[in-house]
Amino acid sequence: MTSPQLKVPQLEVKDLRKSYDEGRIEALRGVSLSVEAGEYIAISGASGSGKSTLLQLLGGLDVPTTGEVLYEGSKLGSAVNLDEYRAQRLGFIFQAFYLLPTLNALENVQVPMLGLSGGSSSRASRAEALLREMGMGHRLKQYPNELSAGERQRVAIARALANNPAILLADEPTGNLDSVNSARIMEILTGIQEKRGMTLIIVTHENDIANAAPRHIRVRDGRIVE
Amino acid sequence: MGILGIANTMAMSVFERTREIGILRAIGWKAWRVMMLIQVEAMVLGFVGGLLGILFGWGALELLSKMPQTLSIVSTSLSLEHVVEALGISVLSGLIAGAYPAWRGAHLSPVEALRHD
Repeated sequence: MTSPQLKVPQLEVKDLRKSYDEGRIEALRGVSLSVEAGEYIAISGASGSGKSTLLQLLGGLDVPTTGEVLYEGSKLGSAVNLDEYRAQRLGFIFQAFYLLPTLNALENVQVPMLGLSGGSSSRASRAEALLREMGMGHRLKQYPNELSAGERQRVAIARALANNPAILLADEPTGNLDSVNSARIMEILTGIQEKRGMTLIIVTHENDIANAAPRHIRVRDGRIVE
Repeated sequence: MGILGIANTMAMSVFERTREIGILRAIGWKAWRVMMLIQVEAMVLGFVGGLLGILFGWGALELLSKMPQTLSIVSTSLSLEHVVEALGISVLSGLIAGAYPAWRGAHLSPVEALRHD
């Protein structure tokens, strides 16, 4: 007789608290959450609700004051090295794109691959393939200041996919875009999630985007309210 | 003096590029890789500074050797050994001067670094 195997969530957050300014500001006040592999989740809330802090902690960009974040059952920061987690398991997309201004689109996409396996030619060809997938094949050599906001975000998405991560985290990915580009970026993100079976977690304050996700988490005053 | 100059330049460079360092850390660059990037920059700065110092120094000696007042006390002979030694010291100065700014830059919290204007 075989014993039933317990399924470990891809990401699990247990009683997460984050405070700043020696405890005077509490950004998160005991958040618990479980994410299965391949889920598409939207996290919404007002400005200052703690939604971006939650995403930063899920992404290993910051460490919680108390509580823990588990990746496939292992604690981030101790059992899982944060740098390796960010480099190999995660793709991060930011509202302000955060491309390196001195590198062109092709070079920006290659930056996360530096130091990992593969030579320069395989890095360049993978970066080119990703940019072509984003419809940026004609803008490979352009620098960020020569690209429109929508194009910059598409380069940032290609960069986030560089190391074929299991999870894509997006912090207000359409926050700096007009409605046409917002729709295009959301189409790309949901397309990637479906095609690659990745976990997609989007932080947004836009109701349309939040309500379109199969799972919608609302954050208020540092707590999940529904 | 050279070490202080490079240390100041590197500290300013790290400060101005805090957000870029944050981006690199956010996309998974390890702290030692960021440190290496800054250290290599400091060593190049030391090398170029050393090279320019040798050229200007040699030019100044050439000038002094042509002046009757200093002709007897100045020699313009420059051996390869001295050039290599001076460049070695310059690169080492860069390495020492860049160590603290590199360590500081590499150990910034990604979130704090990304918030930097």
